[in-house]
Amino acid sequence: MNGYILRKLLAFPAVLLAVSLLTFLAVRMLPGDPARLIAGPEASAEAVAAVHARLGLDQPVGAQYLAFLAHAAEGDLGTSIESRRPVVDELASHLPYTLALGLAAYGLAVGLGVPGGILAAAAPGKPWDRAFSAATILALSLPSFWVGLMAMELFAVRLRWLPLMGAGSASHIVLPALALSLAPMGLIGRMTRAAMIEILRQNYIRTARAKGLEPFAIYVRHALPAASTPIVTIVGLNLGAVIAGTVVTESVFSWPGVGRLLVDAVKYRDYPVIQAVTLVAVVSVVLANLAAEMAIAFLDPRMRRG
Amino acid sequence: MAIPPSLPDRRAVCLAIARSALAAGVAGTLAGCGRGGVRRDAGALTIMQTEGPRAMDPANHTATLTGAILDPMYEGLVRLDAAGAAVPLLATSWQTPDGLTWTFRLRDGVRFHDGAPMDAAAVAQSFQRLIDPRSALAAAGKFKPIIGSVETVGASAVQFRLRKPYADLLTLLSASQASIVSPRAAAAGTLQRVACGTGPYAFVAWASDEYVAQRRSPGYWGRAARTETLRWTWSSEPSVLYMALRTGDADIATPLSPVFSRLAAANPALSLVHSPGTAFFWIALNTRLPPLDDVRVRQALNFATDRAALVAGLLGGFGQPATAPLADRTPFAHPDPTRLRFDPGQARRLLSAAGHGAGLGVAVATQAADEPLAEALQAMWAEVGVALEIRRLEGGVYASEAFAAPRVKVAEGLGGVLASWSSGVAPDLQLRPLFDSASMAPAGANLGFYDDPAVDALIDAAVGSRDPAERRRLYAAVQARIVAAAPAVLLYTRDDLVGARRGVSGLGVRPGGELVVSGAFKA
Repeated sequence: MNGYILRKLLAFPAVLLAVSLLTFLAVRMLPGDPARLIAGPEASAEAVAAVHARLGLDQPVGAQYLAFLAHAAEGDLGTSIESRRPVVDELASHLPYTLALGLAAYGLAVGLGVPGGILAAAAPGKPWDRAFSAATILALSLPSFWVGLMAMELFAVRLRWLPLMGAGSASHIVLPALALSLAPMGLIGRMTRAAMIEILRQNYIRTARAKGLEPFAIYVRHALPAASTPIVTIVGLNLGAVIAGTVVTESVFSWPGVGRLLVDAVKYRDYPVIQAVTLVAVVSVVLANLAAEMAIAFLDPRMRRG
Repeated sequence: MAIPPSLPDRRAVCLAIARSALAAGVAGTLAGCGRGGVRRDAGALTIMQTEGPRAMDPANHTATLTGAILDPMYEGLVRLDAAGAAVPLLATSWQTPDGLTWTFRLRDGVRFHDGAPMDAAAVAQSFQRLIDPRSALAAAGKFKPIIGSVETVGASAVQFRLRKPYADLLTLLSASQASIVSPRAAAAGTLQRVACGTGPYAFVAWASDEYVAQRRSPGYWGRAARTETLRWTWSSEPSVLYMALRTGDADIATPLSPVFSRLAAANPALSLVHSPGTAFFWIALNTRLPPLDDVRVRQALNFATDRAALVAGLLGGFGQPATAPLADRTPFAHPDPTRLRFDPGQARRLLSAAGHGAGLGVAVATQAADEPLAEALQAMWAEVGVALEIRRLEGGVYASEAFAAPRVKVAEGLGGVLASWSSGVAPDLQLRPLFDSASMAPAGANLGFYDDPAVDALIDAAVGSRDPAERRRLYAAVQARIVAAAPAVLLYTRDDLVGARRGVSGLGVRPGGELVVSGAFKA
């Protein structure tokens, strides 16, 4: 397993390079011309060409990519076309917000989804299990922007418990984190329930019950570690979905994170920013999966040997 | 000010148009809770729009909503009063012997927020920078074809030499993009992120994706603003604007969608500032693509369009059906309600005469925001046997499709582009970009390649004339010619809708939809 992790880590720079090339090309293959969007509809053809030259977009794509790599190696991801600030600065000012939001949402998803799933699995078919199943289906299928708007109407406008939008104080994070956590919470909850039910049918659990162990010991000490592989896997895999979710959630709540930055960047074809945000997202997903694999190796002795 | 058909700000307005119906349902059931919001310092106003600023440099944007944010911090040589007449601002007087050379005398003792004096050199540099191709500024295209040079005349006057006589010069100079910028800031290259003008408010901060803050400028030459600080925020969600008004997160919100405007008008804690707008909607028809190259087919599409129903159904009544190629409130608009009437029988007769009695198909490019409008037209046109194919495109893709060259559009079979334009109050700023043959895409916004030398000549003559009666006659002639040739299906103008909390007064809206808050205050 250590060799496996090591191989993954060694392959990481290659993954990074491949991803940078793909995003570089994909962004440039998007129909739509940033120079036209900058110069505006009244701009003459020369004005558009002047903007092209200023942005270096008149160079061959290969040369543009090599220049990007050379700069990236020095920690320079280019300059935002729209804001004219270094992309690294843009990331530095937006990323902490997204990290905070993502961690809060993830904490909620795992903190509520896993215990909920265990309790549901403890008494399948009973009222709590049915309610849990219905709730997780709703959490998975309700669009997060709609949940977000409803939550704003209820908690911010009607009840005045929480701020409506923006990022001024700690309470500002509650509503967006809740909206963002719903889908992964539903998935993690369902996965926990299914994995636990599977394990609870095993003979050793019956033995544990027969010898009179406390329910807590049965579920948490004996069943949960065995059920953890699929749960941890789904938690790791879900990071991508959470990152994708920030795009919508941050827009709805005016949360000044990377998701909102990306929406504007795509709108104005701000190539350097799209590239950088995509790179950051891909790196996070790769790292999260790696962390999940390491966690599984730690939790599951069979994997450690493998 | 012109809003492009590519219209980033409008796109943002309706980023979630499909959601607004849903959200309207929410607000409809929960509305009426007009509880007071969080108490704030009476010396501060928060304004929320649907899009953040694109720049702090007035010369480097073409977006109405950016213009509104910059307005308190910058001033031009002149401004337009409520009646649309130019009145002094940084210029105290002006004269032109021939309409070609204009001399402006400048106000003495005015300084930029960075302390630099606002004098002839500063004004000349500001315009030279704007029209210099090397600056590659977004608004250059609006001024370069008109302004040849700007030179100083002594220390406190400047002289403009125009490329051709231009009667609407003062209107053009009142636009956000013609604001005078500090020569120091321009030389330092900081204007994109840090505003520096002469306005009643000075720039404080622009936190990306969060807010723009402005504070009353202590050394302002004119009457000081009543409100100490202005804070601008934005959300692309139409329902969030309305919620922010109700919670007090925003004192002013614009542009409100028609649905939320109704709710705001009915809410005792809020008020609705509602003025006829100049945001003009039309479908440019591809005059190079059969069967739309036949004028009868283009006329038929106009007759098949029930404009009153569109205004009632889609705008909730907050708009005016098109009666001319100009918005009603634009000077020299020449309404022709007879030719632009809804008459499906006439549409069918014209289509039969053109050999399309059995029906025909037209593909129209649109953005998500305008899809409901396209769908309404689809149903109307189906009544006369025209199948409208809606090509819904993402904003950036739409911009490149809309401005595609004739060859491309014909190859793609693109029959029309649903677009909108906001010209403010100068007819030339609408007729020329939309209908002059020199503005044919990709060079300009003549998206259907309408090409009539007589129209081009009339447009030039009308803006070159200084005699109002003659201008009226020329503009009437050009509009009649455009309506007869039907290079576009003219749809409607949308009203400017601003929501405010009760107690907020002193708000203004420029023709074109730009909010003016420098005189606003909270009682």
